[in-house]
Amino acid sequence: MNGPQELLRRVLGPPGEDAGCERSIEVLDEYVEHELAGRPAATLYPDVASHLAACPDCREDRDALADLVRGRNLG
Amino acid sequence: MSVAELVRPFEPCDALTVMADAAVALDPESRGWLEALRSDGPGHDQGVADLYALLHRAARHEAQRRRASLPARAADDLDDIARQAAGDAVVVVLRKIGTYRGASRFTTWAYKFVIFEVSAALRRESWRDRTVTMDDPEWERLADVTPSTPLDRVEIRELIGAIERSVAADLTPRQRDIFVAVVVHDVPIDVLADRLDSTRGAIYKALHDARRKLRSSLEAQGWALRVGEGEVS
Repeated sequence: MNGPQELLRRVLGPPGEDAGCERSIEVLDEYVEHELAGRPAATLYPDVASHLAACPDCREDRDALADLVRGRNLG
Repeated sequence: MSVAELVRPFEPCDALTVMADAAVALDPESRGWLEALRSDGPGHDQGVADLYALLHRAARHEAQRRRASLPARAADDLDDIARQAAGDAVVVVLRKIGTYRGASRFTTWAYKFVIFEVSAALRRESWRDRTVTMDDPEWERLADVTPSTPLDRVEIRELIGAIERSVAADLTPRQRDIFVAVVVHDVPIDVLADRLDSTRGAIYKALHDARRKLRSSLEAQGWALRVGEGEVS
């Protein structure tokens, strides 16, 4: 890991188109199902993938949704 | 008043018709949810009750999953937070059901809304008694990346200095406040939106604009982000 590059990425976020929160939330369910099915969600929705890398709240929500869907039959 | 009484069946947008028009094949479970929630008979109230039960379980699951990251005083409030989040999410799901396109399973789509509700509530709870720092950046917090060599350590110090100067020189006061809170002090965007009477999308847009300006400024000083490096998992 290159420290300065890691810091730059944290500060600047990833390069490329960013879908923003609204658009990312709109398709988050589809994105997560693609991911869990082993399909290339980041290729299908590159702007959403960039956003999830840059927005901590949306990323946390993605992780939470994926966790729920994985354990769909909750006790 | 029950959630079912709060939200009656929908009018103009017939989600099942939309599905048929778009020739989207719904899985049987998703179709069952839609049929129940769109029913104008007793099936509707049962469907809403089932939806609430589903989303309540989901909210409780998420609240428990994040329990360790919450302050101890929040533990007693988790059940209330889960119930409130589930009720609010049911209202949102019923209001938006005409927009469901069948691109994911219905339960995945519905879970999305309860996650937003419970996440936002948990973030608020987590930060309820904490000060949101925007005007006193502790720049050294940025140094917590892992330098692999002594040279990296020196470069990180120089880069933090460049970031500090660019933030002061190139950002508007609002962009500066939001950047410092989110990037330097790890304040959740939802919490910042609450404190600034704004929305997650609006706060993120300001952060995105700030980052774009910083990228140009830092590139001009020789600090370019190389694609494919520095990926943060």
